[in-house]
Amino acid sequence: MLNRRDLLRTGGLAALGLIMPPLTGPNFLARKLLAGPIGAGTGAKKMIFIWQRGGNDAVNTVIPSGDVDYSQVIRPSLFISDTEALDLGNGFAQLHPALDPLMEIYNHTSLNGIAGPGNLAVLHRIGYPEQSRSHFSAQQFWENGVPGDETLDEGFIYRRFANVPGFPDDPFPGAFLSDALALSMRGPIPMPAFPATEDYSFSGSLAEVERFLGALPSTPGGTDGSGFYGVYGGKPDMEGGPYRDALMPTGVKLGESVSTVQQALAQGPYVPENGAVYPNNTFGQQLAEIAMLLKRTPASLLGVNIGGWDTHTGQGRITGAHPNILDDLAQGIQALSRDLQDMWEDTIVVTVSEFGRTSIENGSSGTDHGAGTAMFVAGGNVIGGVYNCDPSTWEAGALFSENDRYLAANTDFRVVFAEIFQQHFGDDPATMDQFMPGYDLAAAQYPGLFTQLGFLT
Amino acid sequence: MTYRGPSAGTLFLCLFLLLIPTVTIASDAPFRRGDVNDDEGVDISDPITVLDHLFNGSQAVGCLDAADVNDSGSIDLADAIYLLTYIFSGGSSPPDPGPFDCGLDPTLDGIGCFQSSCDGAGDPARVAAGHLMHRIGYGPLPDDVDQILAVGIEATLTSQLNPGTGVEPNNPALSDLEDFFTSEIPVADERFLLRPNAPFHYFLGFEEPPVDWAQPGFDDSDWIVGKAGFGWSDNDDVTEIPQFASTDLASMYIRTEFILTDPAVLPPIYLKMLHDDAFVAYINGFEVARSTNANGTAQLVGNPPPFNQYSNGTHEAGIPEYYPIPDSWFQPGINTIAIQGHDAPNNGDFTLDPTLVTQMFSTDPGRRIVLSDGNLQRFPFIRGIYSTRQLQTVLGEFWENHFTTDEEKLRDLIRNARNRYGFRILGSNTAARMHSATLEFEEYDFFRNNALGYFGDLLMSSAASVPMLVYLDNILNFAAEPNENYAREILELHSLGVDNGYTQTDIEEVARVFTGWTVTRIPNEMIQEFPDYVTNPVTTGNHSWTTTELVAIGEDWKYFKGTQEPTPDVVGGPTTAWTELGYDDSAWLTGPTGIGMGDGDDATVLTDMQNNYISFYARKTFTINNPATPDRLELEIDYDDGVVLYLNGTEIARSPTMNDAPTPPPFTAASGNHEAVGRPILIDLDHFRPLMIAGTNVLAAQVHNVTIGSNDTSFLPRVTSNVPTSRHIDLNNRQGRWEFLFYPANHDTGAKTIFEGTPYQLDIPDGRLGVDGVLDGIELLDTLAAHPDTAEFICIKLIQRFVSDDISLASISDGSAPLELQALLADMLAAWFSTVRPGHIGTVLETLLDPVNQQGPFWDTGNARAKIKTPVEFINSTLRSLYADASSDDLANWMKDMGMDLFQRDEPDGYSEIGLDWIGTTTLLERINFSRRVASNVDNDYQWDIGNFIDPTQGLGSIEVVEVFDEVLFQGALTEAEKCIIIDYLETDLDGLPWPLDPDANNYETRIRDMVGFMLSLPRWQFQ
Repeated sequence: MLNRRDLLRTGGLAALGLIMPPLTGPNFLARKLLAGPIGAGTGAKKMIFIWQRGGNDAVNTVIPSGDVDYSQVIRPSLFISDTEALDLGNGFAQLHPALDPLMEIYNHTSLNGIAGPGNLAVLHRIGYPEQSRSHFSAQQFWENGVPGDETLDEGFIYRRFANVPGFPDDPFPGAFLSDALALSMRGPIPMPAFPATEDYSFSGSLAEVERFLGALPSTPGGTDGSGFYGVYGGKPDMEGGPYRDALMPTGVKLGESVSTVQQALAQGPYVPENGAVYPNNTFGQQLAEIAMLLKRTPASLLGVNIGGWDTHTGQGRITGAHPNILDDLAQGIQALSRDLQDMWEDTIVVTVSEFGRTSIENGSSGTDHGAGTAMFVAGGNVIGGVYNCDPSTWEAGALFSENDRYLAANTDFRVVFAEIFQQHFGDDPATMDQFMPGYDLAAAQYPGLFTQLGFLT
Repeated sequence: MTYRGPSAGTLFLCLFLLLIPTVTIASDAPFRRGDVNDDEGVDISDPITVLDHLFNGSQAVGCLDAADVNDSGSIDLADAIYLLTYIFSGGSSPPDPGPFDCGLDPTLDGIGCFQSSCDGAGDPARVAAGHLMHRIGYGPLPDDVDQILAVGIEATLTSQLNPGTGVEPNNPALSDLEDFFTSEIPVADERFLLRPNAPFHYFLGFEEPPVDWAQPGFDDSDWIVGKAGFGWSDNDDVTEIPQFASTDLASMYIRTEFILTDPAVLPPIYLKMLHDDAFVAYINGFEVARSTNANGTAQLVGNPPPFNQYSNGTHEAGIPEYYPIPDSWFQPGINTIAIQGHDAPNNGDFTLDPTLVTQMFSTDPGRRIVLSDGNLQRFPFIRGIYSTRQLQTVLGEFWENHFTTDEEKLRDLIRNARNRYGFRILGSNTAARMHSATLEFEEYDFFRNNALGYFGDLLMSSAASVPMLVYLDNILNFAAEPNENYAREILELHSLGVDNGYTQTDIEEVARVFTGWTVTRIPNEMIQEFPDYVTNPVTTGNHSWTTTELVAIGEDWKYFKGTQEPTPDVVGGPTTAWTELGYDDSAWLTGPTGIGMGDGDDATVLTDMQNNYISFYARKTFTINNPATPDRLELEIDYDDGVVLYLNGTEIARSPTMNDAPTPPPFTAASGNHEAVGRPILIDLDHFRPLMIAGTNVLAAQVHNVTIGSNDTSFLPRVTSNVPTSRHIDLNNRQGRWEFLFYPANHDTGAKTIFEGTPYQLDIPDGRLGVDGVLDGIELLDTLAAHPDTAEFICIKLIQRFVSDDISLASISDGSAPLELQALLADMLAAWFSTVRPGHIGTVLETLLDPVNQQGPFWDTGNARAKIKTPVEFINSTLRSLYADASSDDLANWMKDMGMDLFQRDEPDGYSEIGLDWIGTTTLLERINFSRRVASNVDNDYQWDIGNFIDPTQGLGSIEVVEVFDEVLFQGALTEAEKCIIIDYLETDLDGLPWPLDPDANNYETRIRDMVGFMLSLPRWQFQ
C-alpha cells in the first residue's frame, strides 16, 4: 500500500524545481537581490552549528588526563585511562577514543595535501556565571544569549545574522534541520526548519502547487494577492492579533524556502566529495543535507540537533550510549570537513551543549547535570589546539570547582561566539552587546570569563 | 518562470462576482468608515485614495461604504473633504460604524462593501460558541454551535464541568472505536503444565521424519536437544535455527514429554503458542491444534503436512495465542507433545515457542489492554473527536502532557526483562509494547477520569505510575546510590515550576525521599485501586515461595577424582554409566558439599587436585514421592569452572563453560573460566519431571577446571521443592500487572528536610522502617500539592491552555503579565485553596470559565483566536469541523510530522502551550498538507460527507458555497478580503484563467473540496 509519505514524495518530485523560483520571485518587503548577493552580506562566510541536547559529559569527551582526580575513584565504571584515550599533544588533555575521526582535522589543515597546524579547536570549561542545571533554562540561555533571562524567546545567532543587510528576508538564508526551529535561530522574521529536504514539499502536481501558492499582494499586507501567498502575505485575519506577525511571514517563508529546497534537490542526487562519509543515521543524513544546501543554495547559516547526551544511566565508557554519539558527532564533523573543503576557509563548524555533567559518576553508571562543558570549533581559519585544558588553566581540584560536584567554567560561551562573530564574520566588537544583551556588563564584571581564547586567525 | 503578480483580472473577478444582484448580502460586509484603503486607521492616505478613485479611476477601493465617508449613499468630493476636515481641522467623526470599529452600514443605500479586513458579520453568539468549543474542546462539531445556543452557555459549561465517569452513555461512535482499538484479557488463574523454555528434541525438515515421530513411543534420542523457543531472526529465539534463512528449509519438528496428575480434574488446558508462521501440534500422537490464517483459511494441508510444505500465509509471533485442548487428549502421568512448525516461502524469520497452561476463569471483568503504541496514540483522536466530554478529554491530554512519560523507554525495559532462569519473558517488541502501551493507556485514562478532580491525586498517581517510575529513572534510585532525575523534575516540571521555590539541596533531599520507589509485577488478587496501591503498597518482589530443601549444601555426596574415566567404554572413552540410578558408587569417596579447593567455599577440600587432575565426579540420591506433584522443583548450582549435570542417567544441563566439550565430556576435558561468586545459576527441574521416578532418584555431576594447574574449583549444588505464596507471580504469566513497589531495603531511612527555612518546611524523621518509609513520599506529595507555588504554577499553565499565552512564571514574578490575567490568577489561587482539600481542578476551572456571569479574560473577545492550535488540537478540530471519520492510525504520524509525538516524547517537559513554539515552516507545511488531504477525501481513513453541508441539487454558486463553509469553519467570521481570495482560488484554473463554478459539472464536489482545503490552510484556521 502506498503510504502518505510516498504520495507526498510523488507530489514533491513532480513539483521539483518547478515551483515559483524565489530568486526571481516576489519583491516582497524589498528584499533579496536588491540587497546584493544573497546571503552574502558578510561575504561568503558560513556557519554550521551542532546542538548536543541533553548536556554532554565534557569530562569524558575532552579528558583531563593530567588531573590526578580524574580516576577510577570518581568514575568507577566510566574512567578512561591515558593509554586508551587519544592524545592531543599538550601533555594534559586527551580525547575520548570514539572521537578518533576528529584527529584528522586536529592534525591537518585540509585534505588537499598541505600539511600544517590543524584546524580543530578543542575548548574546555565553557559556560557562564551562575549556570542553570535545568535542561530547559540552560538551553534557553545558550540560545537566547542572555543567561538568566527565562522569557526571551529570540536567539542570539538570529540577532547576529538578522543584522546582516538582506539576510533575514532572503528566501533561503539558512535552515535548522529539525521539525522545529531552534531558539538560537528564532526571531521576528522566520527562518526555515525541516527535518529532511525530501519531505519539504507541498502535495500536488506542479500546476496544482503553483495554483495553490498563487501570488503575493502588490504591497505587503495588501488584499490583491492570490492563493497561499495571497493570504499569508496579505491582510491578517486579525490586525495586530497575537502571533500574526510570526505566523504570516512564516507562511511566506515556507512557500519560498520549499521552492528553493526543491530546486536544490532537483539538481540530482547529492554525492559527498573528498571521501566524506556521513554517519548512517538521521544526524548523518541531516549533515549531508546541510552540505548539499551550502553548495546548492545561498544558505549561510545551518544548524542541527544531535540528542542522547542526558546520560543519567548506563552512559558507557569505551562502548555504549555516550561513545556511540561521540562517534556520530566526530564522524559527522570529519565528513563535513572533507565534503566542504572547497569552502573550508569560509566555513566554521561549532558544537554546543547546555552543560557538562557531574565529575563523580552516579549510582547508575551515569552522570548527572553539571556546569562547565566542552565545545569543538572547526574551520579553515581555526587555529587548532586545546584551550582551557592544560596545567596553566586547570587548577588542582578543578573537577570540583563548582558546588564541589562539577567543573566550573573558565570561559563564557558568549565570548566564544564573540570571537567567531568578530574574527570569522568581521563583526564590530561594539555589536556584541546588541546580539547578546548584557554582554558588555558581564564582560566588565567577569573579565576572566570574557577573555577571548584566540582560536581564530 | 516569472513572478505571477496580481493581475487586473484577479481583482475584477472578485468585484464582478460581488456586484451581481443575487449576492447583495455579501456586499453588506462590516467596515470602518473612512478607512478607505483598509489599513486599519484613518490618515491622509484615505482621502487621497478617494480622490484617486474619483479622478484617476483607480479601482483600489474595495469597500465603497468605507469611502462613503458622510454616508450620503454615493462617493464624491464631499467624502474626501469630510475626511480632510476630520483629520486636520477637528471635524466630526465619520458616522457609524466610525473609523475605529468594524460594523455594518446602518443606512440602506445603493453601495456596499466588498473587501474589508473586518471580521465578517458572523452572529456574535455563534462566534462565541465556536470560541468556547475551541477552548474547552477540540473545536465544534457541525451542530455544536446550534446546540450550545439552544441549551445556553451556562448549562453547557455545567455539564462539561461535571462530566460523570465510566462509559459515556449513548455515544456508540466513541465506544465502538474504543472497543475496536482495545482488547480484553479474561481474568483467570493461569498455571503452567509445560513451562517456558522447556527442552525439546528437534529435527529439521530437510526430509520427512519417521512416520511415528509424533507418537509417545518414538525414539527421539538421535534428535538434537534445544530449549524453546526455536527459530531465527526476530530476537525471540533461545535456540537459533539459521537454516531457515540460509537454506530453503520449510519445517522443523519438535517433541518433548511432560507429566500430569489427572487431566480430568484440571481446569481447561491451552496450548499457549508463539508461532511464525504455521504449525500443527500433537498430544500423544493425535493432532490437537493447527494454525490458520487470520481469515480462517488453511496455512497447511495434509495429515500430516509434508516436510517440504511451506506455510500458505505468514504469521508473526508477537503475543501468545491460546489454543484450547480438551482434557480427553491427555492422560495421567507422562504425555508427549510434538509440533511441526512450517515457514512461509522466502521468509527468513521463524518462531516456534510452545507452552501448556491451565486457566481457571474468574467472573471478574477482563482487563482492557492496548495492543500497540499505534493504538495507544489513537486515543487522543478517538476521544478528542467523538467524546461529548470535551473539557474532560482536553484536560486528560493536558495532564498526560504535564506528567509526560515515554512509552518507548518503558517498552525497552519490559522487552529486556528476564525471568528467574535468565530467559527473556517477552521475545519481541510486539509483545513488550502490549504491556507498555497498556500501562501508558491506564495512566492516561486515570488522568482523564480524574482531570477535574484533585491535583494531589494526579500528582500521586503519577509518582507511583510504572511509566513515570521507569521514565525518570526512579527505579534506579537507591539509598546507597540516589538518582536525582525524578526529584528534579517533580519539582521543576510537575509541581513548583522551574527555579520556583526549591534549591539543589531540596532536589537531593527529594531524591532520598523517593529511594525504594520502584516497580514489580503482582498477581491479580493484589491489584488495588488508587490510592490504596500507594498508601498500602506492595513491599516485596514478585518471586515469593516457601522452600523445602531436598538436597542441601553441606550434605554428603559420593565423589570420584578425575584421574581416569569412572566408567570407560571398551576403548577407554567416556560413558554416562556412572550417572545411572543403578550405578554402584560404594567405592567412591564421601564428603559434604561444597566440594573443591582453593577459594574458601569448600567443605570437602581436594588438596591434591591442582596439577594432578582437571575434573571430578559426584553423585547424590534423593527422594521424590510423586513426580507429578504441583510444587516447583529447582536446582541451584554455583561452580568453578564448569559442570555437566545428569538426572537418572540423562544430561539435563551444562554450564556455558562446558559448551565446547564433547557429550559426555572425557575426564581430561578443560572448561572455560568461571568463578563461584555466590550467584548460582538456577535450573527449572520441572522440565525434567518425566525423568523422575517415585522413590529414589540420582543427581550426578562432573566438574571440570579451566586448566589442570588452576588453583581453585567449586561445586555447590542444592535441590529445592517450592510452593509459591499468594504474592508470587511468574513473569511469564499473562495474568497480573506491573505495579508500584515500595522496596524498604532500598529506602533511605535517614532524616530529611525539604524546603528548609520556608513556611512549607517538611521534616521527615529518621527510622521509618519497612512499609512506613513510603510515608516520606506521601507526605512530600501532600506538601507539594498544598504548596502555593504549585498552585501558582499549575494555574498559570491552565490559563495558558484555556485563556492566553501572555502569562508565565516570569511575567507573574516581575509583574509584567497583563493585569486581567494577574487578577484571574489570583481568583484561581483563591479557588485552589477554597476547598477543604486544596487543589480541586473543577473548582479552579469553574473560576476560570465563570459559567454564570461569563465575565473575565476567558470571555474577553480580545483573547479569542489568540492561541495557536497545537498539532493534536489542529487535527482534532479539523476532523470535528467536517465531522470526518477519525479511525486512522495515520493521524499519529501526521501529529508526529507536525512536531508532536504524544506518549513518546523524549524530553520530560511535555509539549509547549505557547504559540510561538508551534509556528514554524515544517509544522505549517504538515498542517496544510494534512488539511488539504482531509478536505479532498483522498484517504479512506478520514472521509467526510459533503452532503452534510451542501445539497448538490441546490446548485449553490461560489459565494454561497464560501458562505456555507465560512459558517462551518469560522461561524461566519471571515473577512471580505479572505472571502475574496477564497473565491478567486475557487474560480481560477490551473492556467490562472477564470473558471466559474458550475453546479452541474461533475467536478463540482471536487472543486468545493479543494476550496475547503484552501480554507483550512488559511492563517485563521491555525488559531483557536
